[in-house]
Amino acid sequence: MKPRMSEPVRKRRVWIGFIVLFVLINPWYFASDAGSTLVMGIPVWALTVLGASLLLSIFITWTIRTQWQTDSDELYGCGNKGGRGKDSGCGKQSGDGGHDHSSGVRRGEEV
Amino acid sequence: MEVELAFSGWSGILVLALYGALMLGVGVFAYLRNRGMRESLDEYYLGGRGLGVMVLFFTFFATQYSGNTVIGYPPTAYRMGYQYLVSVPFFIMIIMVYLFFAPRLYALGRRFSLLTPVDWIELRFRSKSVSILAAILMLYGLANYLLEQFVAIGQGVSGLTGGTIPYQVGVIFFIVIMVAYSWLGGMRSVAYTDTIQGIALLFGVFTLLIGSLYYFGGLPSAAEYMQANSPEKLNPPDAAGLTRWFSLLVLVGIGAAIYPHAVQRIFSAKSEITLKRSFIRMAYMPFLTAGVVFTVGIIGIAAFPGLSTADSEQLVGIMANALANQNTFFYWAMVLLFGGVIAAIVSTADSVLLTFSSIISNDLYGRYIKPDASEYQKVLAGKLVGLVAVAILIVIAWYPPATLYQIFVLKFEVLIQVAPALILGLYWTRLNARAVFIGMLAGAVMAGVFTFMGYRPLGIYSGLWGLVLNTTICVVGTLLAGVDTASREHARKVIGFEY
Repeated sequence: MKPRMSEPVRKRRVWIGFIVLFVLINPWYFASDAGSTLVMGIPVWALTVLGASLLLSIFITWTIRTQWQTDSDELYGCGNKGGRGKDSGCGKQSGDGGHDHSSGVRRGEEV
Repeated sequence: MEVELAFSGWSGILVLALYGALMLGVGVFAYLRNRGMRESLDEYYLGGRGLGVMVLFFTFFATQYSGNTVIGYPPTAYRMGYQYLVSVPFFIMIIMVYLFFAPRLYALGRRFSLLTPVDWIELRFRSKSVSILAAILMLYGLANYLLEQFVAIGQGVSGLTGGTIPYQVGVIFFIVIMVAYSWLGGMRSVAYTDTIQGIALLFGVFTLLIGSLYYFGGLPSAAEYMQANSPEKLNPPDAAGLTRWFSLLVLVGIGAAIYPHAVQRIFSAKSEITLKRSFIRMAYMPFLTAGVVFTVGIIGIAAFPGLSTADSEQLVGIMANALANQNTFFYWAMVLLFGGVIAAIVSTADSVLLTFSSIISNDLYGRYIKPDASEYQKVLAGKLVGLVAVAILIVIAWYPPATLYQIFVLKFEVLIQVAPALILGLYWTRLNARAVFIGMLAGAVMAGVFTFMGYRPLGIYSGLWGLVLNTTICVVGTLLAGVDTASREHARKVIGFEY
């Protein structure tokens, strides 16, 4: 059985979002003397670029939350025997995936 | 990064000594808590693949933000004005680039228990020449990166202690401490110290910002000064500036995301959710670090006008001196700031050294020199070769060669040449190993030659030109030569997923 994979690089909406935001974080769309328009001592063009940068961060958050999902932790186990953090997000204990890191077995699966 | 801080003599020594003791304590703690650790590569180099959100986040933070972010960025903002605002989005770009390969690489890391980036390249191409070339490029780039950190540690320590501790003593002191805690606790020590170092750095830059805003005036007065004296610093970049802006976004985005020590951190996440949460936090850090130090540089334009290029390099030291003279709180805050700067440099250096050793342990010694060695022997080989490399780099840091100095400058330019093998290999089953090898070699040579000659066509950095050539050879070579059935079948098995 092949592992399942849902990843940002295969999503058209992610590419469109990144391209649009990349275009916006390059300040090519301002007049050369745009620095004279200020808000609270900051040029408006700089605020715009910062705003676009923040949008990029938000878009990254959305992409990570909704466009990235694999079953690798379920199939191959996650964390380690010392891992006990409450935020690990791992439903299973290590060893479930069939390989024990502490015993020196390195390859989880040979191809 | 030579900052002379008249305000700090014995107090600087005290903070550095305390800091050194704290780092050693962390190493001993990590050692005692995980006694079986030295027996396994996974435990030593990846912290047993068990790093939680907080620690993973700070260890990513420490690889991306170094002492140079605090000391070097404000002077650049001082000279370029708002055109250096690019330093905020380029750090966000790094996370964006991660999203194009990290999900798949994490899944493959879990499935095949990958340890290093070269481990992945070997699994994917099964080619000795590609793996060894990738390992050599990474070791070369990482060694130069380490050398740069050592020089910065020496200058930082001698600056912070007002020259009381000479450059050489500072370097030796911190390298001994760094090697000691790395040997004691491996990745866990490195990640825990990264966390402490990251917090120290964040505290420092925020105090610097608050102090600057309070004592030197805010952004409106800086803007007023620029309008009257240097309006170009308020304006958006012109055509040449836009090219520079664009190439910085691309080069830093791709380059920093595929740094071998950055890639290796993907493998050390405890779970997919841990990795995702760390990335989400990292996506906002540019505003709190690059954005803050950029603002400090802009405030400096009006507060300390007319500094020459050389003098402006001292800007953070000048501002810290002025703030330290205000009151006791700022005095100690500035001592802590520079302690944090040195901490940040050490935390970058320890990550680089650990990855350097892991490539030796796993990809050269463990794969080609003595494949039947025990994991303990492999770890030991990595540690010892790492130590020899450190010793050689210290000698180079003290006696910089008069000629051929540029061979020690190449870092980014060389490391980035591994990107096509690393990333294209994740998605393209037909990718031909020979084309990858020729592309990687040609890209590295081109980037090196362009750098030596100071050649920068169209204002685009030499590393990017090398990358363009490299990628072109990979793609065209693959399309022309194709790939044999066995290789393609192997690639399908490795990167085949159900979508």
